[in-house]
Amino acid sequence: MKTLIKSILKISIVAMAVSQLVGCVYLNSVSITSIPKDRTHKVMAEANKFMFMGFNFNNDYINNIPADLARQCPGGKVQGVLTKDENVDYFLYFFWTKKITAEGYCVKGS
Amino acid sequence: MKMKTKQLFAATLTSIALSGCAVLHHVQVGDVDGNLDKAERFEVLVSETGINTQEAASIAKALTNDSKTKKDIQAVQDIISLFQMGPRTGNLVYDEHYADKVAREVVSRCPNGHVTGLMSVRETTKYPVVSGEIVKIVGYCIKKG
Repeated sequence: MKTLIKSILKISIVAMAVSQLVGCVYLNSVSITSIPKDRTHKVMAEANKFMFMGFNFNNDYINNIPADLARQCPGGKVQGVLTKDENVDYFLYFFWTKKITAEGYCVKGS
Repeated sequence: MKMKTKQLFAATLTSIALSGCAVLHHVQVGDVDGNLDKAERFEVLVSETGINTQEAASIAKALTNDSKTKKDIQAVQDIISLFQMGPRTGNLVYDEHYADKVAREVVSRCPNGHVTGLMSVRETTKYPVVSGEIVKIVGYCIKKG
């Protein structure tokens, strides 16, 4: 009986530790622009920053998102842009990542 | 030696507090033209000073030893908090129109061209008690011709 309780306890501790390492995701905001008829060519840009205890002294890491999207669509126009702003918490907000994702459709000749 | 360590620790903490933490609240990317190599990048920044009344009250309470004064400060802080409930980003500001000029500023950066790749960012630069409540617009201007 004692060994069974010990094993359950061990499994619980390991499960809790693993659940902390997996990382919880929090969605801060979502936005979308008008979606085009031609949705064959999808493009995506992402910017993220790993932080320790929230120490962050600038948000310049997101500045290249529009240019990254444009690079994937030369001569066209990126439309239907879905922007997601997320926090990924790895351990009690000691370690976390701020992640911005923008994805849309490249429409040629528009 | 012990004193020096304490001073060094205090100096490190102060420099971290004064350097200002940047908090990102919201990002939105608009439609982007693919020919940005011919475009001119611009950035519009508007900001207003934010006040954290909770931090101000905590500092005021720490500066006094009188328990009645401490209670009064807490009471004032509680009353102020009642008027600041609800969803918000960053600290409160006393000018709600500070971001209204953003659209005008964007147009003025590209008077005769086509504006594309607009990315609007809402961020805060936090310092003790005060903060910079910032709205930033990054865009590209494709000039005619």
